[in-house]
Amino acid sequence: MSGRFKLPWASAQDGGADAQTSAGSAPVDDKLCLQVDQLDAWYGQAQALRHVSLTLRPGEIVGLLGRNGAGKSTMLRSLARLQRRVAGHVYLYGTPVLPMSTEDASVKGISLVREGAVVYESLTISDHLELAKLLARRRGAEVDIEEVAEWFPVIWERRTVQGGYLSGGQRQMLSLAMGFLSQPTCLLLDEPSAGLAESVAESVYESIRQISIQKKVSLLIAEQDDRWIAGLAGRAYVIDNGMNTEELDASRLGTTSVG
Amino acid sequence: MTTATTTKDTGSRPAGPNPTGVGGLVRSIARRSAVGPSTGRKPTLVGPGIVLVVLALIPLMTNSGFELSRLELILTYMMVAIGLNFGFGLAGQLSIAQPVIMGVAAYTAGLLNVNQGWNAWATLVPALVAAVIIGMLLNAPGFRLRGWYLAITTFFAVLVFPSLVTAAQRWTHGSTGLGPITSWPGIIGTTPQVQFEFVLGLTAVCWLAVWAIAYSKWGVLLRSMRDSPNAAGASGVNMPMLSLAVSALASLPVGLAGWVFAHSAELISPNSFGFNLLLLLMASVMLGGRGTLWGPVIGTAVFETLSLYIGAFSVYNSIILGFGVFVCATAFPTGIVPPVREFFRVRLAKVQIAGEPSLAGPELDSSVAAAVSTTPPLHAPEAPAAASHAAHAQAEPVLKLTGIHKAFGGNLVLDDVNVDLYPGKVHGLVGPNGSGKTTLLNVITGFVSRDGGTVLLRGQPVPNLRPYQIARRGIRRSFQVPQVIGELSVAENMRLGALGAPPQAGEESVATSRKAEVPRRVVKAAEELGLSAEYLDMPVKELPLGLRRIVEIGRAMVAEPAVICLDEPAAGLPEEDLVVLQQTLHRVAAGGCAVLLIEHNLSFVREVADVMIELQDGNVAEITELRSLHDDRRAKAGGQAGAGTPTAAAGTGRPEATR
Amino acid sequence: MTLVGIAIAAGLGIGGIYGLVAMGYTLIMASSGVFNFLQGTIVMGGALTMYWLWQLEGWPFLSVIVIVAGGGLLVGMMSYAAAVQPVVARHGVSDLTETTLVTTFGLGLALNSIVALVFGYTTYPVNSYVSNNPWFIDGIPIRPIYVVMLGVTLLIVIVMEILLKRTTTGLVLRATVQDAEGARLAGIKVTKVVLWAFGGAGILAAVAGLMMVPVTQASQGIANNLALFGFAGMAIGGYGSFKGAFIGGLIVGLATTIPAIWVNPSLVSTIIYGLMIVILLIRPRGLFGTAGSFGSARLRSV
Repeated sequence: MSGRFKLPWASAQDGGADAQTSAGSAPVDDKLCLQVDQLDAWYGQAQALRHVSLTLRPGEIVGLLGRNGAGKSTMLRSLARLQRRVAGHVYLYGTPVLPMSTEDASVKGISLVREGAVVYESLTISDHLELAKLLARRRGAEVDIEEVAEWFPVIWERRTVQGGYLSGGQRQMLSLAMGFLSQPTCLLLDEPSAGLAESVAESVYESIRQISIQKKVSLLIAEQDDRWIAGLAGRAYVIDNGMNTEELDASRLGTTSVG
Repeated sequence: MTTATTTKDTGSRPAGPNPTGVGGLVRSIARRSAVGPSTGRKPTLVGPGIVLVVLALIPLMTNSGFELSRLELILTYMMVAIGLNFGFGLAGQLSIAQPVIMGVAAYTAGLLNVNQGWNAWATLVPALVAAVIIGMLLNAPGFRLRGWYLAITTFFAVLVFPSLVTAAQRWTHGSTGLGPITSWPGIIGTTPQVQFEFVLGLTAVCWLAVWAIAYSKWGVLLRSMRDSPNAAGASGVNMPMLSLAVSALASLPVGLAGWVFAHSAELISPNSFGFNLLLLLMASVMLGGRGTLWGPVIGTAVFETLSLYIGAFSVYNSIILGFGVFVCATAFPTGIVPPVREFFRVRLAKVQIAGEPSLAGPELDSSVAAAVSTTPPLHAPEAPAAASHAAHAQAEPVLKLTGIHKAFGGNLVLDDVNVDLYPGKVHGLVGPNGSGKTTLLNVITGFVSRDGGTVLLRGQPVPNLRPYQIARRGIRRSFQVPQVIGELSVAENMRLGALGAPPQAGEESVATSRKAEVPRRVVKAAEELGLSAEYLDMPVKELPLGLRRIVEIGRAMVAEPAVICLDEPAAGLPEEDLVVLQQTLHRVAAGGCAVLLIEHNLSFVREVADVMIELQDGNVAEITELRSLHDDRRAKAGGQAGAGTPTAAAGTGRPEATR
Repeated sequence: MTLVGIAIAAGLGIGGIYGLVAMGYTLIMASSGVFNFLQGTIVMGGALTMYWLWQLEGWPFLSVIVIVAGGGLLVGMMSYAAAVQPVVARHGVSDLTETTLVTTFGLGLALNSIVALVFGYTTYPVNSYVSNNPWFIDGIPIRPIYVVMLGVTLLIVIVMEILLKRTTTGLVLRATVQDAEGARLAGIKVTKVVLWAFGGAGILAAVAGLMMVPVTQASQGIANNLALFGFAGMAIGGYGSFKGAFIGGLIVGLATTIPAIWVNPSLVSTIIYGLMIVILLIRPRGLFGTAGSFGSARLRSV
């Protein structure tokens, strides 16, 4: 690897490519909400994703299963374009996603609810909902934040409270509320159950169930344990060590857990 | 213990006097000068020697006292730049108060001379002492303040200094200037040519001192301060002490410059030590390249010559320097020396003189599998001892943790954790995110202090100590993102592991190839790891992740620790590298260490660990003995040539339930 | 006693100015992690423009304010484009603070010197924009300008708080400052927000320069002094809120006037420097640090 003389003003990025545009192996289908084709991703020198592929049809709810460190979060972050060092192809209804910046991908309709229910510590719940409304407006839709009253009455009642004072479950509900409210084309949920007590996680999933019936959003949910998405997802992909291992259909969900 | 003597010649005869005359001679010198810190051999001083001789001939070319004094000024500023480069470029200390240090030295010399009548030789020591004291004082906030905050505070000291001098007008004469300061007694003071040679000599001494330090083991320490301070601490290096030592050392050339300035300028005022000087220094070091030896010299030469022609304190000077700094920081962050050097290294490597081996050597396959063998070493390292260790291991853990508590704010992260680590065994620490694994590792290695509980190392209690103290007691670690010094070689990086502790046997050098000399203990550790000796002088920045992780393990092993903790060593590695890593870990344990690794990759842990410790919500949920003490695999790693490697299927397939 | 009273009034007045500059630093720091040395240059620009257009050329006060504010906005944004953007593009964001420290320093000193080409190093006196007849508070004569400075700067702080808390733009800024990643995910163009933050800080600095000039006179040397005092204000008051930075500025202002009663005025900058170091050593995040309307995680890492 010696001997490549680099001009001083060459880019500081080493290794990996920022969205290479080589030809993919599958034809682009603009009817698919999400089409992921041979996606690679790197953190520094470590390769976190190796040639991962999946599809998401409009209105479908699909699971992404894997243990800790398997690459679920990296996958979702790559789709939302937070993770920049990637290669391969991703299409949102036929539009290439990888060349987009995070903001553009968001405006185009990809919403990511991050793991760990991250909220703005000193902004109130109302503030959060206003931000979601702003995003919806950027996406061309006018929404009524009062919808949240139906979905998560607890959140609505406490809407003057700052994010920093919410419990884990409430933060998760707030993050989900923002996600659904902003009228996404494709909603990505990163381990909604993480860090929550059993009963709280169950109630969160109950809400996800109800809202998804109402809103008909295309949903990709990452989880370690498939029992959360049993009865909700039509199918699920399993990844391990950054690679696809298998695809499960609904009947096999909830029968074994993924650790 | 045999010494590895692999050679990497591609040519048929060793290098000798080159038949193609002067050109060949120049090339040969250039090649040997281009040998960098990565090989452990100091490069030849012939090149710098020639430069010095050429410069020394200057007084023969001009009789003008004025010209000579301007050149002297350039040399003086070079000394300051060398000091700045030493602290900032080599050691990464973000401290830019050099003008103040120089000013303090100059005023010390000046005041003693003007008010007390001390001659130039007598003022030397007080000036240097004052420089060192003020240098250490200005850097003292670095203990509490992070990098750039320290830079700003030292930088504002430069703003404050002139007003301080003005406030002490009664003694310093403020901005009218302090003087006349007498020059050196004897021939130095009276003959401009001699004075020039004197100053040239001093500058050369400063440069040489930095050169010697940079290519010694201190060079490794300094670069570790800059590039991998955590790794240095974890290798037993007392960072605060080292930082203080660097502050003091870096002040010496600056103080020397101040002393020279005072006695040669004969009149000093605060303006000489203000922002203009700072700008010059920054521009010089940035243009030349921080951390390089020639950088400050070339940079100062260029900029100061330029500014002398434009007019030392003129406005245009500041404009050019200001833009110079701006452009360099934006477009040329490494300065011009590294790309130029790289250019020559590449070119020279390609120039093959018949019969001479190429500079770069044969292209080494830098994959993990090529570098690290998966078969056991020819000589099993102390196999009988390992076996007897193993026999006793059940009864005596080398590290015993009892009742460990740790809370961050109101959050209880570790709750009554009890863990025993046994020599010769691999322990896998697993658990979901937030279970406390990383915190436990940090508590064991001293990066986080525990709130409660006891730690017994070899039966002795261990209080809450700093990382370097824990490292010196025999607990070492690796980091999830390998903390290595890219520009140094594998051997130099591994050597850091031994530098933190008092000198022990094994420091003497051993040749591993034509080019490199490496401490014996590094060679020994590399052998134990199965790392091929050819890789010892590869610069680490050219290595893939898997090899960097192994270099970190090697660095830990050089110190022959009792415990090695590894932070997610398998993360991000492809299958083939995981297999090699497993073997490496077996070898490490076979040598008698207790190995603890945090991992998410359960299949990897199952393949490599003897014991699996599951953490959940801050306490130990389950401890599983995965295999018995006298396992097949352990014996294979330490003894006879084994039957092949663990199955590659270990990492794929449907993950199983652990609940 | 009257001396102390006068010093307090003057200190608070000039402290309000330092507070404005400190708030500018905080705004930039919180939104991008950059320390913009050019803030001092912009203050000097405001002062010299006031001298030139209002004092020399006699332009109407209001026009000058508009021009100065506009200039500050422009130069602020340009400093982002010149000194920050290329660094981000080339290096990514590691070491951003250290590198932009150097780029803004180099650029700042170059620009200060260009200004010196035009204006030289003289100190130009500027008449006060309010009457100079002292008001008597408690029997102590106080120059009205100090009251005006404090009053106006306080007003600006209040207006900024309102903008921050009650407008959509303010919401977007607060979101960006607290969680830039989340803001991106919400479709917010963080680069644009940061650009406007630089511009806003530029306005604050330019207006500060304009207001202070009758008291400090206009000169090229203002740039470096204000850079220091503004930073000291942010460092002392902390680093996390506008209010904190403003109060830090007030403290620095008082530290410049009150000690001058008893000690040599040349020692003032040394005193402030010493004060700053002591407070930073005891409490690196400043007196009111990290709590407050920002609470930026980036700032918390000090």
